[in-house]
Amino acid sequence: MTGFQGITEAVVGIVQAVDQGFSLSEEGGQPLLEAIQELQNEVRSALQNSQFLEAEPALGTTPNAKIYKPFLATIATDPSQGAIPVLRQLQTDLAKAEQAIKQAMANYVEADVRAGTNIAGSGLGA
Amino acid sequence: MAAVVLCAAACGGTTIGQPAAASTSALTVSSSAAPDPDGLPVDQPCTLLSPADLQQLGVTEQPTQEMVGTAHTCSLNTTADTLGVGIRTNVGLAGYVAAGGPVHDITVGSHQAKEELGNTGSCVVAIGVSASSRVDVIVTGDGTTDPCPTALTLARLVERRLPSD
Repeated sequence: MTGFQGITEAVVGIVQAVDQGFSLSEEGGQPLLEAIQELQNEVRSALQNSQFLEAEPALGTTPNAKIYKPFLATIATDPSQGAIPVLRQLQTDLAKAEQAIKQAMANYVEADVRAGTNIAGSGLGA
Repeated sequence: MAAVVLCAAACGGTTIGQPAAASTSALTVSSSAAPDPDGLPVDQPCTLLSPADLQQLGVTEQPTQEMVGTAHTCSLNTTADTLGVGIRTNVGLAGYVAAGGPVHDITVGSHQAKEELGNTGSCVVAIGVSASSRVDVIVTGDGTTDPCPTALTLARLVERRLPSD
């Protein structure tokens, strides 16, 4: 769980940096976007399979089933330690990270254009 | 269905580590799957969708088939969503297990169905086929948009190829 919390904190750091003007070139940002999108696909696939498993037929009312049932639900859906809440938080973090990286790439282009305009205006670019 | 072509590559089992072409134009559908007693293509769940359906849905990768629990599933990816079709022959619509969200009784084509936005953020449309079988359609988005409209579209496409209940 600690590792996933670290991802959330890292994403908060990226968003703050971008808000303060952090920028990324196309070459630097694109591999990050591709990695994020690949991970998003994996998370979606895991959530999809979880949903299929949640729809499995009920275990019934045998003595063994009565023992298993509450634990099976808890493993998946426990609000603090279950797999599904963790995956959904990761999905949210990845969406934020994707937006932040895209904004950082836009910042780079904007800074590049601004620098070019300044050079042209100063006459040094001629 | 007689004219459709065998889909050796498009509808094969899960192949790990072997990238496949993104084009859906090569995807074809088999009619050779042995149906179960309810007429469902349990060995070839991807045959519930035609190549034209895949294009309409915007599928970007080859569909994959695998068992998830007791469901015979076909998994598809678009740029925004993961789509799944799962054939269940051990439980009907009456045995639908709610997954945390409100469950709505709906009709898809000529079949009774249930729709639910589950706690995974996925939208489920369970389509009843017989007392002991059903087809679950599940769409999982990026967590920022409602996946249910896409799930209903997928359910309508699948329902056209289901036997009458």
